[in-house]
Amino acid sequence: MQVSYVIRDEVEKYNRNGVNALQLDPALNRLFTAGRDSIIRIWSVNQHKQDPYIASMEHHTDWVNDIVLCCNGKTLISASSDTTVKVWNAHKGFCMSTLRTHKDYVKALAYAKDKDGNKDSIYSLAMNQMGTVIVSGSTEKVLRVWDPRTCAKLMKLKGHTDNVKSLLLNRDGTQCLSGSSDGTIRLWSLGQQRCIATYRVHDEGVWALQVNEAFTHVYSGGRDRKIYCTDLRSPDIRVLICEEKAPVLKMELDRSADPHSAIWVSTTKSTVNKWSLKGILNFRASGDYDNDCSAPLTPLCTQTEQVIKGGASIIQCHILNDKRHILTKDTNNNVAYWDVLKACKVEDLGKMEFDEEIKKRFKTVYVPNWFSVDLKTGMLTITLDESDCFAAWVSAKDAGFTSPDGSDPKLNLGGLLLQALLEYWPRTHINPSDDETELNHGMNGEHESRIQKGNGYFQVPPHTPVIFGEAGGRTLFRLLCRDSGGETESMLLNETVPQWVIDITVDKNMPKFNKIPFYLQPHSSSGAKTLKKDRLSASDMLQVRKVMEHVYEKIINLDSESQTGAASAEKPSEQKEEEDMAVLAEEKIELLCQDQVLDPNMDLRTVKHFIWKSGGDLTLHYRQKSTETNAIQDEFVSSSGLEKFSIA
Amino acid sequence: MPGLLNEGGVVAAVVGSPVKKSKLSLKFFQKKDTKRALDFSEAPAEDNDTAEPEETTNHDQVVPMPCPSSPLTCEKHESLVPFVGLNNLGNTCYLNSILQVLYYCPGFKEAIKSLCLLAKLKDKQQDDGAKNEGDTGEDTLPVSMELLGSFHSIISSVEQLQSSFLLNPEKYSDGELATPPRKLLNTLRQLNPMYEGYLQHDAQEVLQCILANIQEACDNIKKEQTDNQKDSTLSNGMGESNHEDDGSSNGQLSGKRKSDTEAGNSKKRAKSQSKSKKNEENVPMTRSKRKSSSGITTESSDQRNGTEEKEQEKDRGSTIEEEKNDSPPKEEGKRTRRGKLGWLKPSGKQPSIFSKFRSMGRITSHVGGRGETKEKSDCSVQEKQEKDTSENESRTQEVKQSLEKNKEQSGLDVLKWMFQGQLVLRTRCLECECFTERREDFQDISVPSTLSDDVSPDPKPELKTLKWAISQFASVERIVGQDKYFCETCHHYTEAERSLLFDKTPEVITIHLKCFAANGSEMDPYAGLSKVNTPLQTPLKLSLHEWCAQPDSPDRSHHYELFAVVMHSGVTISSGHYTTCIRMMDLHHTTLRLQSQDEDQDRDREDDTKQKKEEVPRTEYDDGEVSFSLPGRGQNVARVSTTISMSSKSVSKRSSEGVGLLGGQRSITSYELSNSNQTNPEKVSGSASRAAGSLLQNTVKKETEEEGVDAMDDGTQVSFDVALRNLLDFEGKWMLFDDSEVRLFEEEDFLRACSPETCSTSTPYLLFYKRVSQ
Repeated sequence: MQVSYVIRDEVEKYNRNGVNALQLDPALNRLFTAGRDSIIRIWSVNQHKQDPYIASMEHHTDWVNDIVLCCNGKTLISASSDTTVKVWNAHKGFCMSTLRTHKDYVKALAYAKDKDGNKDSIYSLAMNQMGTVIVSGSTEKVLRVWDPRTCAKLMKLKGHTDNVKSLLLNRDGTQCLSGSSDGTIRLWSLGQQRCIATYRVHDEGVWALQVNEAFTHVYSGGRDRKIYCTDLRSPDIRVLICEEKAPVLKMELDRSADPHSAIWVSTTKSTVNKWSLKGILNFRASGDYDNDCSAPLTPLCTQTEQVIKGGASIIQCHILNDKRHILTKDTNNNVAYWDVLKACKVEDLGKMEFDEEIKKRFKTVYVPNWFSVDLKTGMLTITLDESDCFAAWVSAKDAGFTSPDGSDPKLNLGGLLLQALLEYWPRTHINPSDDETELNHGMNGEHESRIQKGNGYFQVPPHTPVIFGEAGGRTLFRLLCRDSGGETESMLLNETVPQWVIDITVDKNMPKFNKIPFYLQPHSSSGAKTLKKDRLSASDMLQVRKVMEHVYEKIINLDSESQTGAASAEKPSEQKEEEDMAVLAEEKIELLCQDQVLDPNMDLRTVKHFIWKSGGDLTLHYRQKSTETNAIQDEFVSSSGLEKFSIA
Repeated sequence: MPGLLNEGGVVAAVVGSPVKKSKLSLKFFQKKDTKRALDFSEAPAEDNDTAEPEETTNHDQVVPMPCPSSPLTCEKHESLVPFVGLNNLGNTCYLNSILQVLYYCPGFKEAIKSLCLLAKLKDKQQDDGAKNEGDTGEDTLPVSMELLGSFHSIISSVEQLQSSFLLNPEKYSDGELATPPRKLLNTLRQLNPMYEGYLQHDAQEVLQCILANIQEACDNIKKEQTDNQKDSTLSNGMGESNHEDDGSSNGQLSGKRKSDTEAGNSKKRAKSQSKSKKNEENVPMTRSKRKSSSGITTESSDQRNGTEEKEQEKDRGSTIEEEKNDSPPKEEGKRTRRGKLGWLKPSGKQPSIFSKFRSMGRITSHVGGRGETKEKSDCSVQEKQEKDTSENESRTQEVKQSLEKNKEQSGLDVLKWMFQGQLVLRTRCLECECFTERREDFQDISVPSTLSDDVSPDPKPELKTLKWAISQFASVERIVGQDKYFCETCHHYTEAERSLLFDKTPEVITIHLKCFAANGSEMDPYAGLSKVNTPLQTPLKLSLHEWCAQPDSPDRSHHYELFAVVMHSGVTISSGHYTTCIRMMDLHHTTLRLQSQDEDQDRDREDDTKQKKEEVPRTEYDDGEVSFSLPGRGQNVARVSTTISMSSKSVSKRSSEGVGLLGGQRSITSYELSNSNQTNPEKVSGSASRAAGSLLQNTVKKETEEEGVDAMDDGTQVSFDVALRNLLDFEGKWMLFDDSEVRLFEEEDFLRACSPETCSTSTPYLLFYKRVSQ
């Protein structure tokens, strides 16, 4: 079980990524686009050409692979790589039901149930308008024909040499058109159970097909980015309609007029174009078509009739060393700076060299990984997994948070984030044990409000989608952050939130600090003999400064002040003089790792990661600064001595 | 200056000469003293030649018949076929079978010769003991170089024996036409101690071992050449480029080596390196930095390679566990079931069986493992080639004879060109249909010969064809379901297809049929492994077209023709006998050597083998080695006299006896192809069967002999013509090489033996296809 969330704007008006499917509602002049950004958008295509956006239908959590409009445009069905099929009220744009019967990506829809039963993934489906025949195309390279009423297998059609990605059936289900990754379009007779004709129009795989009602002209598009219209009866008559800028994923004929006046085309880019077909008749009539395949055709259209502008999708990202901020680059080469913890964009940096910016923002800080990033939707999807979610601790000061009492508590980034994501979930508002909460949170000030919401440091945008899913990617439950207070959502959360999230958000059980083992030895230059190796252990966030204090206090001081005294003698003075000690220690002592003098502000994990580098336990050496004339005397370090620091 | 060849020749001569002569005298000499005399006169020259490889090569050139490829050895004799067998030196049929294949592999002989020339040239140039390489240089010289030399010596002795037979068939009327590959065997044992003793071994491993070491030798030669170039300060652009390449390749090699080197190896290496260093010291050469980094002068490198290989072999041989260790990565690599690629890695030992076994069931796309080995081999080959070329260039200036250079180049290139192909592992995203490719070199492909439990259920298990087997090897694998493929283009986990295709196909494609299946309840030491005795349908012609990444590439055809098959007969994997069926081609290229000495040497060698036995009945002699001959002979006799059934029995016995992997036993088992035997006697092909020997055959031989004699009398040319004519009678015929015995194998019988219809225990194990133009 994983918890994910998406960093995005509250309203995403533009397709963020490629568009996998299109459906046109001619009655309302609405276009539905099924985006790889997981969002189905509704566009008004007749009016508002400047701002055609009407609404988004957001419930999917992964690519929407196919949509089908049915029931006279009242209902939309969508299939997604989140393994669900959803049924929507197409007019109002809300999700009516979710079918979770699939165990893998749902790639294609044909108005009705699709058939499983073979091992090969189905990439295309078609059903005739009478609902008597279903055809499926798959990596099996074979078309399988079914009777949807009886679920009986009718036949298999062999001929393609590669995956079948697009299928069309004529009205009565007697003829079928298939477009395949092998680059061909085939026309099949279901009555004769054979291939009637093969059209080699494209240079590469054919991914999208449309056909007129009479089943005489096929429009095809695919990987070669070109869209052709081919006369099925005389294949030499073909017209290059246009050339897109990216591989064509889907086409939708505008059937409001006959002959068709335009075609909508979606590609792997986020922009959806409408191309006019008006010239095609003249083109044909003129006999100007070029049936010489060798010569490059000139496209019928060079200008789009209408454009539904797409947004930029993030194509590259880099997690900075603080494991909190991310640099991204989008399709427009714009670089942005994000805060994972607050689930928001911090800064748009505009067009710049991505790698340069990464270098510029490099910090010698080591924080363990605690989340993973996914760009599949073109937006940032952050996923937290139980295995490492709580790995990262930072001090509040470093994180830029101040606690009311001025202390500098250690914060667990994953824990804080989970608390923020479920801030509105009522169950997290009840504290089983106030004391514990107080202790763990170090939030004395706000405790008086009695109901403590969130984590007390920050909030995530309330529109942030939160997704509970299986590790493999199947989505179990998606909701918006702010909706977790709703009754239904609360109930569902009770069922889906995994225990490890409950522990931190409801029970407020903070995870334990990470301990790091290390050795502390006098530096060889001091002339001291190597002591018996004592293995120390401390929080991996312990600053070098603290270790220096320890050295000063336990080793140097012992020598200078009370050579006969025992270590216990130091205890009373410890707290009072702590600050003095720190100053003194820094003045007199330096720590080295791999013969490199350490910055007192570094913490142990950073030292280990950036300086120690190798495996095995970290070994630190101490020596008195060169100004010191006192020779460091040998003294063994008790391994218990450092334990206290881990609590600090 | 004594070359490796010399050694072999000399030794053979010394050991064998007296005895053999006596033997021969009984039959051959009586008939034609004159011929003998001729032979003798020439013989000394031959010896010299053998002693000095250069000379021999020169001779070849000089010989009236230009021999681009002289794959054929001795064929026609009376009852004897004019092709030379190899004596069994004690379960060495695994070696004999492979040697025969290599000998008749188009171009291979020439490659070896030219390589030897190159090697010796080096020696001369260097003025070093390097020259000693072949013979005495074992200590100083890399063993791989020794292998080269010993291989050359066996080739020359076979050639001489053949020509002498052709020219003076009578001599051999009763005798066997065979030579013991003793020197080569010794070298092999140096290369890999696993081959010490008289255990049976796996033919494929020997093949890989030999090829790998020869490639190393090539590498060494190349390095030397490049070094020489540098020394000579030849600033040819070509040369420089070559150098760079060499360096890179060296680096790769070293890296691979590192990977290969595992705990056990390190020690061995160290030793080897030290040796190599010594060698290096011996050879004064300037190296580019890369080279220097890589390590050593050519000679030294050769040694290294050799040693490394040895090490590898040792490792493999030494512990099965190691192999097991190796295997897991392979398994990881494989997702589905594929045949495993065989590599040059000379995996010489019993463990190999296990690996094979594994590979059978599981998909062995063990890219990593393979890649390394392949790369090594490839690199080595490349290096060799490059070196050769570079050498050639450098030498061209230095060297006087351009011809020699050309040969050298061809020789260096040939190995790689001949056996090494390239595979492409292509992963294609089903969403965006973009694909990524990874290339790997291969030297043979291992395909399943049966459906083991693990192997994918094929629709028609009954009709198991080679095509089916290859498609198992090169099948398309889908990456779907739980572990999808992360497509960098889609930024998404997508379904994908992974296919293994031939990118470059070698001139000779070696197909290793994994005829082992896991059957429980076997008592044999190879727990649960049993041999599959149902052969695949083996086609005479093969097209790799459908598995080629560039099927329509005009430059090379993907059509292949079967020219050799190594058969394994035996019921179990743990023992058995290897024989080789070879289709005689390009016999007209065969060069006949007049050098009587060669013959003498050959005889001597034979004599050597015989000596021990001395005038023991020929059956024994045929068997080859003294020690082993006994059991084999008995069987042999039985075989000869009796029919197939007998043979099968003998086989079974052997199998029980045998220790080695697939077998190293003597020729006995071959009899299983009793069908052929029966037919054979009637046909001329009759193996120079010893004891009962077919009289008919003898008569035939005599005829040929007579012709040969006449020719001799008239003049060498005439005799050559006659001899060649005799030879050419065998053009296109299949010959069965069963250790020292060679006989004609009618194609029908051969095909029968290679088809699943026959249920003999003798099944094809290694198939060798050579490229033919469409």
